[in-house]
Amino acid sequence: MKKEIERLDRTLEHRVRLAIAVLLSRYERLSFSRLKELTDETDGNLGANLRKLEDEGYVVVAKEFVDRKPVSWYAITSTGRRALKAHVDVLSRMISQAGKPGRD
Amino acid sequence: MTDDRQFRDDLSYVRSVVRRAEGVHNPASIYFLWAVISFFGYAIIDFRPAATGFYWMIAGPLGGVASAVLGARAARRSGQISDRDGWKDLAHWGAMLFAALLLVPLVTTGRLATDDIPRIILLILALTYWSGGLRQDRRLLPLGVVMAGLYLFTIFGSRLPYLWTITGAILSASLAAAGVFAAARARRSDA
Repeated sequence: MKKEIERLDRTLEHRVRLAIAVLLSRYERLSFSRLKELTDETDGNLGANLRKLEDEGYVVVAKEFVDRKPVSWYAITSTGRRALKAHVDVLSRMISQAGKPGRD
Repeated sequence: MTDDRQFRDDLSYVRSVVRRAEGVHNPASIYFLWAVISFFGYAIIDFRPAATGFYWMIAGPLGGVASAVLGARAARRSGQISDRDGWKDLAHWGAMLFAALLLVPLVTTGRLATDDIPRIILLILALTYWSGGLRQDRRLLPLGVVMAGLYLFTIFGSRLPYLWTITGAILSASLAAAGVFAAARARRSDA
């Protein structure tokens, strides 16, 4: 189990960042306000988590106007998708191991 | 908190966020659009039966394109865009149109009476709305039931005067009611 924990992606270990990555792998584009609504986070907290994902190259942002209002659209990159898949694979293994008796 | 407990909490948080994102509904404008198209589309059978086919050949595809545009606009406004869901919707509603088109050889070969086409279309509509309700937006489920009821009504009430106008009015009213609920829901989530 310890070995598996070390394989987890540090960026995606945070649940808000993991949720954002999962959402963006499911939907092509999500706006900042929609992400805020879905994650129930404050502007500051969500912004910081999105910046972290951006810095890692997991998400990209594009800004445009919708109904004359500025909107920031977020999308997952192929690097982000690969990282998410690897992270989820480790999590799945950990969950299946947790169900087996006598394993650490 | 143990690692195990922490993982469990995190995964349940992620699951709840994803579930929240799935609760996207059709915009009210699509229901209102089809309320208008359906009313005239069924009432025309009583007043200008010869024009019915022509009406649906124009109004059906145009309504489909308008619905796609309205749906895409609503998705942009909600801040959640999914091409995959868009293609699924297109396949779902396009299949309904295709099934209606497949009735043409039944009529041209004399295996189906022209008068029965609107009934069969109601049945196709009922099935499409019901499956759409299961897959996409639960608000479509009662509409599927109303349409199935209308299908039976047009069989057992076939001698009623203005049968198709009454059918169109009920269909239109139920679509408009779904639109009113959709608008109220949108207002609540905007507030």
